[in-house]
Amino acid sequence: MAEPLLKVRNLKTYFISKHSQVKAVDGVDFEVQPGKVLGIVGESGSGKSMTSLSLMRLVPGPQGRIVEGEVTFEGTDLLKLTERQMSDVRGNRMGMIFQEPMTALNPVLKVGEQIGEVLIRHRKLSKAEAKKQSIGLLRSVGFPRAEQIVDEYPHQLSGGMRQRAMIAMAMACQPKLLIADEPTTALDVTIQAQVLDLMKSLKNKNGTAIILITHDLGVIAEMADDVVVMYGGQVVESATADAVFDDPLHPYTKALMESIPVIDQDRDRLASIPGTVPSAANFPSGCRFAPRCTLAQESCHQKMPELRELKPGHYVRCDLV
Amino acid sequence: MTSYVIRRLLGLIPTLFIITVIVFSLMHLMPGNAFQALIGLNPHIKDAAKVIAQRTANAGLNLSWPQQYVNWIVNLLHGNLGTSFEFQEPVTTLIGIALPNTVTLALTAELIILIIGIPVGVFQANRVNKGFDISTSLVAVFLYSVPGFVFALFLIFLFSFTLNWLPSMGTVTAAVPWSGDLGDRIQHLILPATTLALPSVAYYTRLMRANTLQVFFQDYVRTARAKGLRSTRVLFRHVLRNAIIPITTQFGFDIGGLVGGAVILEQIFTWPGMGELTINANLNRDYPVILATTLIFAVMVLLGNLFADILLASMDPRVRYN
Amino acid sequence: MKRKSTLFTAAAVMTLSALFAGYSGGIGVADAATAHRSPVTNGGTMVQTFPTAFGLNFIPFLSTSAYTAAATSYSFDSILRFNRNDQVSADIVNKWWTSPDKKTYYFQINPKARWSNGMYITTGDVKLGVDWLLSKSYNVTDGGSYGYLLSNVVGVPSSGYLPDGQTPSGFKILGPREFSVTLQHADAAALPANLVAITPLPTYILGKIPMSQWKGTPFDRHPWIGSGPFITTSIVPGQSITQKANPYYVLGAPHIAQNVWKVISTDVVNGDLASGQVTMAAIHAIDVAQMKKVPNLNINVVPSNGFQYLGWRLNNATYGSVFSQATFRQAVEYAINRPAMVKALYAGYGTLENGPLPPINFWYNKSLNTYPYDPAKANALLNSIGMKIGAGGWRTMPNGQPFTPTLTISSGDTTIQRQADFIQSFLQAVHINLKINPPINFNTILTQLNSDSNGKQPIQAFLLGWSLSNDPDPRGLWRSTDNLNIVTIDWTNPKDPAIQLNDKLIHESHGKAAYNINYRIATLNKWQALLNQQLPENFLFDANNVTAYNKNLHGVVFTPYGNLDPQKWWLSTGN
Repeated sequence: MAEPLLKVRNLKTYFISKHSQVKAVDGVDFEVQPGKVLGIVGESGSGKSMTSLSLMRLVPGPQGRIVEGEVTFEGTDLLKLTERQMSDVRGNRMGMIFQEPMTALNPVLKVGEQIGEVLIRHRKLSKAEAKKQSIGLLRSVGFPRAEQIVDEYPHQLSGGMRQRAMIAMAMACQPKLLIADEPTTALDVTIQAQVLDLMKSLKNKNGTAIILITHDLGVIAEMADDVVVMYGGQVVESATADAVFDDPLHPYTKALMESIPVIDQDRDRLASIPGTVPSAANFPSGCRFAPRCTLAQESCHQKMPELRELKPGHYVRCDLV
Repeated sequence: MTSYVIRRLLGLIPTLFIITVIVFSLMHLMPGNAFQALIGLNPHIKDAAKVIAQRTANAGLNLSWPQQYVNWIVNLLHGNLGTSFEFQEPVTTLIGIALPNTVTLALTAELIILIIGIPVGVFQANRVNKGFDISTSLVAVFLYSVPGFVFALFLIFLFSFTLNWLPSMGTVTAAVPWSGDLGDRIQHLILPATTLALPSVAYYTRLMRANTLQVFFQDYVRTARAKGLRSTRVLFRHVLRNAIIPITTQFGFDIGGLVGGAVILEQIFTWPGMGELTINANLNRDYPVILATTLIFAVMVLLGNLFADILLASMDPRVRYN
Repeated sequence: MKRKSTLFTAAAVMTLSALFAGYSGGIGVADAATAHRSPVTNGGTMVQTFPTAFGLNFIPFLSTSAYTAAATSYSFDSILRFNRNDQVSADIVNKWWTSPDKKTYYFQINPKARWSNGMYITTGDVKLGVDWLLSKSYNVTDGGSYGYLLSNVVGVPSSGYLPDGQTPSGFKILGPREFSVTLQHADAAALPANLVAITPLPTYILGKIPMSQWKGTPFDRHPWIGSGPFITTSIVPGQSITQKANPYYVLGAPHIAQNVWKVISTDVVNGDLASGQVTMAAIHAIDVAQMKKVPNLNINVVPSNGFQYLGWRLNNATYGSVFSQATFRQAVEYAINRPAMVKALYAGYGTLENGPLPPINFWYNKSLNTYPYDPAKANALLNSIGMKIGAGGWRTMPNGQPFTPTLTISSGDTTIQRQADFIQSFLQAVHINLKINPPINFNTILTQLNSDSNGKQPIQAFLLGWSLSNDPDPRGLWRSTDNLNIVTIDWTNPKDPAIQLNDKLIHESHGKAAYNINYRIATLNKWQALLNQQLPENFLFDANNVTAYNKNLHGVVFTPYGNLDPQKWWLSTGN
C-alpha cells in the first residue's frame, strides 16, 4: 500500500470546562489513501463531525481542544503547525464542505466573492482574475449561468445550488483532500444524487481524496473505498467498504446494516437500534456500546475493548468476535 | 431604491398627521395662556384683559380646535410655522438657528458612538472574558448607568474649569478673531458631543460585543476559516460585516432619539439648539414653537427610522425594498 | 438680569420667574479702597452672563427679553438716568426743569453727547425715539409694551398710539439741543417713572426706514452704532453678544475695551467664575460660603428692590370672610418666623420686608411695625376674631365650621416648595390647619388668579413676588382698580375704608403737591404705614442679590437697581 495521504493517530479532542471534561473524540486512528474516499459513519453524537473539525483544527474554542494525537497530512503533523501555517493548508491543500449550505455561506457576501477570496488568499490572484476563475469553477460544478451566479447572494440560490457553490469553493484550489461533513443530509433525494455525482466526478478529475462523513450507509455504499465506523468518540470498526458491507464484525456495525431499508427484501419492519448514543460527558465504563448491545456480557461492562486487527486491514473494537 | 424611498416618505404622512393631531390636543390641554404671563403681568398695560383678548384673537386661539388645526396645517403647507408669541419672531427663524446646532451635535455624537462603540465591542468579543473585555465591559456598564448630566458636569469640571483645555459653553468663542473657525467649532463640540455619546457608546459596545459573539459561532464563519482566510479577513469581512447590521438599524433609530436626548445637555452646555427652544416654549406656552419643535422631533424620529431601513436594506441583501 | 438706570424692563416683574431674578450688588463701589490706590488701567475684556438665550431684536424697547434689554441698555442711553442714590441725574440730557404748572418739562441735550460714530445727538433723534414709542407699528404690529411711558403726553389719544411717524403735540423741538414735553396731567412720578426712559434713536439710519419695517431690519438684528458705553460688534444668537467701548460716550469713554455677554447655564456659572472665564455673575445665596473660598473672586451682597409675599384670595367663596380680616393677616405675620426662613432658604442672605417698599428703598418708611416672630401674639389675635381651637387642635371659622385653607405653589422651584413647608409648620403651630396643594405650573396659577372674580377658583393662598422699579409709584399694582391688584393681591373691596384711604394716598403721592419731595415722602410714608398695618397680603422677605466677580474687576457700583457706571469699571492686569 502506498504512503497514506492522511494518517490520524490517537486523536483526542475534549471539551474542557471547569466542571466537566467531555471526550468528544477519544483516541481515533485512521488513514486516508490518495485519491480514495474514506467514509466515516456513525449516529449523531458519535464524534464524527468533531473528528473532521479536528483535522482542520476548527474545533470551536476555547473549551474545545485537541489534547493528544497526530494528524499527519502529506508527511506533516498538522497539529504541530502554527495557526498561520495551518491557515495555509486550509482551503488550499485541504478543503471542507458542510452539512447546511444555507448557513454555511455568508448571507451578505456575493457567491463570487466567497469563492474568489479563496483564490485570492492561496493563489494570490487579483480580484478580477479571481472572479473569472470563480465563474469557471461555478460552471464546472454545473451552473449554466455562472456569470450571473457570481453576482448573486446565497439566499437567491436553491439548497442544491448552494451546496454546489460550496463544493466549488472547497475545490477552488484543487485540494488533495476534501472533507465533506454530511454534504447531502439537508438536500432532497434527487439533489443528493446530483451532488454525490459531482463529488465523484471531481474526485476522478482531480485525484482528490475525500473524507465523507455521514450517518447514511447508502451514501457510504455508493461512494466510499474505505469505511470507519465511529461510536462514542471511538473507532469501533474500520476496513474497506466491501469488507464492512459484506462482513460487518462489530455488533454496532451489524445493527447499522440492519437499519438500512432494502427494497427487495421482505421484512416486517425495519430494525432499529434500541437505546440512544451515550452522552460524551457520561460514557459507561466498559465497552461504550455495551448498554445497547444485544450480545453484551458481564465482561463488556467492565473492560474497554481494544481495537484489534481481526483480518488484514479489518479492525474491530469488540472482544466478542 | 428611489421609488422605495419615495414610497416610504409618502408613508410618513399619515403618521405625521396623527402626531400633529395628538400634539395639538395635548397642547390645548395644558393650562395657561402665553399672553397672560406676557401682558397680564405688566402693570402699565391698560386694560390688560382686553389686550390679552385681542392678542389671543390675533393668534387665532379663540377659534375652535379643529379650525385652529386646519389653519396651522394650511400655513405649514405654505412653509409658515407661525410666529412665536414670546419672541415675536417667525418660528422658522428660531428653528433655523437652533436646528443646525442640534443636528451638528447629534451627528457628532453618533460619530463618536460608532468610532468607539464598534471597535471596542469587536475587540471585546475577539478576546472574550479576557482582561480587556472585562475591564471595558465594567466601564460600559458604568457609563450606561450614570445619567448624562452628571457626566456633563464632571467633564466640564475636569476639562474646562480645572485643566482649561476646552470651552464649557456655546458653539463658538465670542470676541476673538478665530471665532467660528472650524477648529473653534470642533473644540466647542467635544465636551457636549462626548457627553451625549457616552451612554450610547456603552450601549453600542455591548450590542456590538453581543452581535460579534453571536456571529463568531455562525457556520459561515467556520466556512471562512475552513477556507484558510486570515483571521483579520474573517473578522472584518465575514464577522463584522454581519455583526454590524443590527447596529446600523439601531443607529437610524438613535438619530431621532439623540436629537431629543440632547435637550437637557444643551441646557448645561448652553448649546443654542432645539432643547433650549423647546423647554422655553413649553414653560411659556408658546404654542407655535411647541408645535414646530414637536413636529421636528417627530420628523427626526421618522426620518431616522426610514434611514435605518434604507441602511439595513443596503447592508443586508436579504432585505428587499417592499 | 442687570438693569441700568434706564427703565427698559417692565416696572414690575414677577419674581416667580426666579431664574431671571435680577442681580445687582451691595450699594457702594467694588473694592473702593484699592481703586484709589492702584492706577486705573485701560483695556481688557469683561465677560458677563445670561442664564438663558436672549431675544434677537436690539432696537430699544422692541424685545421682550430682559437679557436683550440689558445688552441694549449698554448700547443706548436714555435721556436721563438714576444715580447710586436712586435719584434722576444727567445723561444725554444734562439740564432739565419744569414749568410753574408742572405740566411742561424742558430738556437740554449735553453738547458733548454723541453717537458712537462721532455724530452729535440731536433733538431729531429724541423725536424719533418718541415717535417710535407712540407708533402704531410698535404698539400694535410689534406688540410693544412700553407705549405707556408716554401715554400722559398731550396729543396721545386714549388708544395709546399714533400713526407711524406722527409726533404728539405735547412734544416740541425748541432747538437743535432743546426740547419740551407737555403732560395732560401734572404727575410727580412722570419724570422718574416715565420720561427718563425716552431714548434717542439714530435718525440718519432709522429715519430712512418706515417703522413698520424696523423689526428685523439689519440695524435691529445688529445695531452698529449707539449712544451707550458699549457698542455691539457681534452677535451669536443663543450664545453671546460682544460689545466694544464707545470712545464718544457722554459720561466718559469706558476703561474696559470689550464687554461680552455670554449665555451660560446656571449649572456651570460658578465654575466659570472660579476659572476666570466669567468676570462677573449673579450666584445663589446658598453658594456664597463656597464661593468666598475661591481665591480670585470677590462677593458682593446687596438687598434687592422687591418683595415676596404670602397672598390670600380675600374674596374666596369658602374662607374669604376670614382671609379678608386684617387681624387674621396680622396674626399670620406674627406667626411666621421669617428670620429663620431667611437663614434656612438663603443662608441668611435675605432681607425682611414689612411693607410694599423694601428697606433698601430710598422711600422706605423706617418706622413700620416689623412684626417680630411672636406666636403667642398670633394666637391672641386669632382668638380675638373668634377662631376657636376645636376638635383635633385646629382652629375653626368663627361660626364653628372647619378651617382648612390650602396653599397653592408653583412647580419647578424647590425654594418655593421649602418656603411653603416652613409656612405650613409655622401656621400649624398656631393651630391653623394649612394644607399645601401639589405644585402646579405657574401658568395654571396665573389662569386661576385671572379668573377668580367670583372667588370660586381652587386657589386660596399662594406665594408670589415682585421686583420693583426705581420710582416707588404704586400705580399699576396697588390701586383698588389696578388689574394686577385684582389678580395678584385681591385688596379691592371699594367699601373697605382702608382701601379707600389707600387709593387716596396713592393719588396724592403723584399729584402736583408731590413735586415737593418732602410731601411725596410724607405721603408715601403714610401709604406704607397703612399697608404695614392692613397687610393686604403677608409681606415676607426677599433674597438678596449676590454677585461674584473677579478680583481683577474694579470700580463696579453695586446698587439694588443694578450695577452702575460700566464706563468707570476697569480691569487690572497680571492678577
